[in-house]
Amino acid sequence: MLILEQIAQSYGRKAVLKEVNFALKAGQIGCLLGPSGCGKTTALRLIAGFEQLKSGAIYLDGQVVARPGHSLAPEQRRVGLVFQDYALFPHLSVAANLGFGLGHLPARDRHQRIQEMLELVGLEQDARAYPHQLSGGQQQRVALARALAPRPRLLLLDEPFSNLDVALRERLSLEVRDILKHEAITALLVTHDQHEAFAIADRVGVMHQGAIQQWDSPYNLYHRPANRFVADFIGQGCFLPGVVRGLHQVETELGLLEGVSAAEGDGGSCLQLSDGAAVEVLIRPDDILHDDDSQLMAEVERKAFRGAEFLYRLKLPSGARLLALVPSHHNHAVGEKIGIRVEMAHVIAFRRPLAGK
Amino acid sequence: MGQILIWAGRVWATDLDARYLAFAWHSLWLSGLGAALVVTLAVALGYVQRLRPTGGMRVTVRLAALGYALPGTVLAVGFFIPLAWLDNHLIEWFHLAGPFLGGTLAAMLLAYSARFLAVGLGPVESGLGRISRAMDEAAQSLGVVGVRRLWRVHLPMLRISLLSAAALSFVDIMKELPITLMTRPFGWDTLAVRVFEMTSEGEWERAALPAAAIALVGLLPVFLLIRQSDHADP
Repeated sequence: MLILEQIAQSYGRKAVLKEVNFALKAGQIGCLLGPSGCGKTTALRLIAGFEQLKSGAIYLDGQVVARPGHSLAPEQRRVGLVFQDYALFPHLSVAANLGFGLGHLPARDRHQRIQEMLELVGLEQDARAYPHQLSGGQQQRVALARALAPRPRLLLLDEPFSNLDVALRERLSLEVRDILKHEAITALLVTHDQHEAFAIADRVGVMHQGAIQQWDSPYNLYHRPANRFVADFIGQGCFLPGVVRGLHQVETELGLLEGVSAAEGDGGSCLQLSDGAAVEVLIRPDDILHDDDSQLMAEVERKAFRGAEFLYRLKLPSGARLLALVPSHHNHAVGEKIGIRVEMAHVIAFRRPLAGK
Repeated sequence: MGQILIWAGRVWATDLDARYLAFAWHSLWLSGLGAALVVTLAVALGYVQRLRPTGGMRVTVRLAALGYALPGTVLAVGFFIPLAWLDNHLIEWFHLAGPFLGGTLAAMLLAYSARFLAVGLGPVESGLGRISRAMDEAAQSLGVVGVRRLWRVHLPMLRISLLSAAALSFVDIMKELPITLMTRPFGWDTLAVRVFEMTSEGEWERAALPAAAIALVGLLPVFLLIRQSDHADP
């Protein structure tokens, strides 16, 4: 459906995108996730057609929409856009905003489509209202409906929830996902917020320094990060030093961990971790269980109450640190030693960074 | 202003006649058309510059607005020479009876717009600057570009800027003298011309009446503008 092939983009001597490849299937929701300045917005604007592509190619529905020296005009791409600030037309009512891109339809069809869209986003009551009379969440839904009204081939969303407060953000991102799935829309979202990305997307590309570090399902990004950047950027966790002991096993302070494979970026599963190699394994807070019967003790160094659980930062005897999520009725004081146990199905090992780095 | 009113009060009974209706009408008509032309040109230049924000375009627009910095007399002469040249050639080529462009309203309006483009360009440019690029892109992604986009997005959003551009150039044109004197059709006196004639003959009191009329007529667009701004949506 949407394919980006070897996209590279630079402005002057500054390379914004180095080599971006990914594909979205029809009906899939993709997301480019990364810190600001990673090039994700540039990628979105290239797909929309607002920037001229310098290297690579972009395909939509098998049609080349952009390659160097050839670019289909944005108005001919049939790509819908939801802007970060929504960009609703302030002088037009909600209904007129929705009808803005329907000028080619006869009045009756246009009216019917506007009605459909109002119902889709639940704004039937506000058809005559003006954008400034609506709440942020309502404006966001108008922007979504306006972009969907002309039945685009692809919908692009640029940080669509960043102007909303956190509680609303989560609810709306689920709502938007339902709407997109209901309408079988292929969509690509750009955000710096991983909760948003995970809530809404089927496939997430983590971007850093102009390149996609990993294009994968949210589950795999969290549990099988391809490299250190992804492991650090997604979720919380600590790196624990260890030494490889035979096939798929690493000896650490927490004992012998099984089911180890090397991170994709470090050679992946095809790379045999050689016996005796110094590695670091990624330990997520949910990999560590609190167990009073365990011989393995760690000192509580810091704690954060999260409601349902505590996030403890623990110090192992060696001085290595771990994070642990513990149900919140286990309230331990800072300085106390608690028993812990490791429970992980799969362990990702990274090459240990060279000293001084 | 008080003095003008006192003088105007003394002479209005004897001076105010049918001719004044013609003066005022000429002034209104010229200023209205001139303002419309200035605003149209300002919008066209502003929009083109927004679509192609290149250095060359900036310089071109600045040059086009330079007329405001020149003394009106200089501009009028500068305008008159090529116009007369063109007229002479037109007469030669097409065997016309008299000048085709010189001394016509069209020529006057062109000269006005060259002189006062900057007055209209100011509010239009700052108004356009307040419209985010995302608006343009939103319209474009919905298939609306070019003049249709200008008409459906920018002009409605620019309403207040357009009104103030129109009001400012309207008032400026109404007071304008050198270009009016040099390019007007024969016998086309305006209120400003009348003020000039009376003052140059030292008839201060009689000049007060057209002066007061200019002030009065000039208030009209200002009043309309204020009303419109009050009604504008936030």
